[in-house]
Amino acid sequence: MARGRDLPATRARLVDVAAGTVNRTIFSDPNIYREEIERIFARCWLFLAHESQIPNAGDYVNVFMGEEPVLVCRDADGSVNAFINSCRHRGNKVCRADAGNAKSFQCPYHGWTYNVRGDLIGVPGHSDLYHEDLDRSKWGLPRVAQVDSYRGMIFGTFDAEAPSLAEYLGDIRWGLDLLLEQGDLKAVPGIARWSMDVNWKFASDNAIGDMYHAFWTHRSAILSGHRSGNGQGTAASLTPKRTNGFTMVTAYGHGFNANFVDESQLDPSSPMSAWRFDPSVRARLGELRGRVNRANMLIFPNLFVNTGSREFMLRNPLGPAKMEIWKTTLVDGNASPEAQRIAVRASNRHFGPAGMFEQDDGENWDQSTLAAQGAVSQRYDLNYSMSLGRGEVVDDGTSPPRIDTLTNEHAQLWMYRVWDEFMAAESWPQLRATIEEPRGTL
Amino acid sequence: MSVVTRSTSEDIRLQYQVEQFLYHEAALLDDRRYAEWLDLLDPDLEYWMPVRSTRALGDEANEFAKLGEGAYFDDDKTSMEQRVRKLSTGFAWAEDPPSRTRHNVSNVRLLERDGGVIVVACNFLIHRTRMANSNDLWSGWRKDVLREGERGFTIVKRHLFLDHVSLDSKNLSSFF
Repeated sequence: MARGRDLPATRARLVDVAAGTVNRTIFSDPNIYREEIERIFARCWLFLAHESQIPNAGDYVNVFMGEEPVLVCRDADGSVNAFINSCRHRGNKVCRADAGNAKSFQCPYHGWTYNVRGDLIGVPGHSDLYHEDLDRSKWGLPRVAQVDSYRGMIFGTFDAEAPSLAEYLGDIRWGLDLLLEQGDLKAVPGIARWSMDVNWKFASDNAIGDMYHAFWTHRSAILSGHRSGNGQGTAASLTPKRTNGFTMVTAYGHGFNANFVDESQLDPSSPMSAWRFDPSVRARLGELRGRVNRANMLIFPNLFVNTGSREFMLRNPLGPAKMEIWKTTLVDGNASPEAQRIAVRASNRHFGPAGMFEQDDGENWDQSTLAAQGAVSQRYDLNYSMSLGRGEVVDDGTSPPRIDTLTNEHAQLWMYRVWDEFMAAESWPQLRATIEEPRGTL
Repeated sequence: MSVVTRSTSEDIRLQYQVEQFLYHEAALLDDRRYAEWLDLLDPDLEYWMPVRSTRALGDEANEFAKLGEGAYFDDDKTSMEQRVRKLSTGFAWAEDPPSRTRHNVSNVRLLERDGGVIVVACNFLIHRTRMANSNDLWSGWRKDVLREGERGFTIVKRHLFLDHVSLDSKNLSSFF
C-alpha cells in the first residue's frame, strides 16, 4: 500500500504495488466483499445492455448491477430508464422474465403496478384501504442514479456523485473503438449464462492483461487446430511473446493488452477480417490500432470485452466465492447473413462454458479461488510482479499513454491498485481528487 | 408417426434398435471411448445446444435462441473432432484429471421415419463429478436425426434443449 493513507486495518497492505503482491484474503473475505459491493459496485458505472437489445418502446431486459436486479426499459420517447426490480411494498421483483416487451410491471404479491419509467401508477385499494394517504409519486421503483451510453453500450451507476460516463471511461474509449468500429454492431439474441465458484476479481484480472496465460491455459485448444474466429489462422501463440503488441491502462481501472496481427496468418476472406480492409475504418483507427489482431479488455470493474471474436462478458458477483458470467456476442448488422452466421459460430465455439478457450478458464479461476480460503495459505501473497519497474509509459501522441510490451503484469497490478483506491475512498469527490493516471514507469 | 397405438413388429424392432444405439453411444461417452464415439457422428453433423432465457407466459416462443444465435454448442464434425483432439494434448485442464460422467437416456420416441432417416426425441440426464467435490447435473431433451447405413446408425443432427437458463457449472467440457 505504502501511500500513507489511513486504511482499515483489515485491508492494510493487501495490495502492495511496490512489491507486486496481492494478499489472498481479498478473494475470500466476506467483509471485504461486502465493502466491494458498496464501494465498487454501488459506485462505478456498470455495463447494463446493448442498445440493440431494447430497440422498441416497452422493450426491457432484466439484468444485475452487482447483486441488485435492475430493469432496463425503453420508453416511448426513446429514452432508456433503469431502476431496481424490487417492489416498494414488500420488495418482490415486479418483473420475473429475463427480457420482453411490457406496458407496465405488476408485482405478483399485492398488485402494485409501475410503468416503464418505474413510476408507481397503480395500488389496489388506494381509495378504500389506503384512504388515498399514500403519495404514489414518492414510491416509484428506485432509479439507477445515472444512465448513459457509449456507442450503443448502455451503462448505469447508482452513485449520483459519479462523474459522467465519458469521464469514467476516459481513454479506454480509444480501446473500445477497436471493437465498436468493426461495423454496425448488434447484440446477437441469446445470452449464455453460467456461474462458478470464483471470486470476480480473478476473472477481471484475467481480462485486463493476462496474455501470459494464453499459451498455457489454452494450449490444448491451440494444439487441437481450433481457430479463435477472428480471421487469424491460429488461435494463439504456443510461446508467450514479451513484445509484438502493447498494454494500456487508464484511470478508474480499465485496461487491455493487444497483440499485433500476423499478416502471414491473416485470412482476408474471413468476414471477421473485413474491417481491416475498409479504408474509412483504417483511417479512423489509425496506424497503431490498424495493426491490432485482437484486444482483451476490462471495463472496470467487471466487463470483459474481446475485440477479436466480439463479445461482452459481464461477470456479476454473487458472493466472495461465486460469480455468474453473462456472455453476449456482437455482429455487424450490415454484414451478409452468411457473414453474420460465421461470426456467431466463431464466438459460440470460442467462448462460453463449452468454448474451446473458456472451458479451461473456469477450471483455473475455480482453483485460484479455492486456494484463497485457507488461513495459512493467506499468509502467502500472490505474485503479480512480472516486469515490475520495467513498464515505461509511452505518451507520444499516437495513442493514450501505453506500454510497448505485450506480456507483462502491469495491467493486472494496475487493476488492484485502482481497486485499492476505490476501497479507500469515502466518496466519488475524494476518488476523483486522488485517482492516478498512468505515467512514468509501472 | 405421432402417438403409436398399434405397433407393427417392424415398429417395435426399430424402437429397440434405436434405443440400443442410444444406450451404446451413452456408454461410449461414459467410458471415454471418444474415437469410437466420433465414428457415430455423420460427416454432415449439426450439433447444437442453444441458450435459453426466462420469458413471460405468452412469450415462450422466444425462450430458446434460434439457430445462428447464442449457443453453448454450435458445432460440426470438424469442430467435434477438434474437441476430442483437445482432450489428448496433455494440456486440457478442464478434463485433466478427467471428469466422470453418467449419461442417462430415456423417454425415447420415434417421431418420423422417411427413407433412411429417423427423427428421435429423448430425455437426457447427465451427472458429472470432477475431483472430489464438484458435481453437475444437466437435464433436458434432445432431437436427433439418425441416418441408417450399412454399418448402422450415424448421428446427422443433435439439437439439445437444456432445462436450465443459467448453468451452475464452471464449464461444459463433457459431450452431450
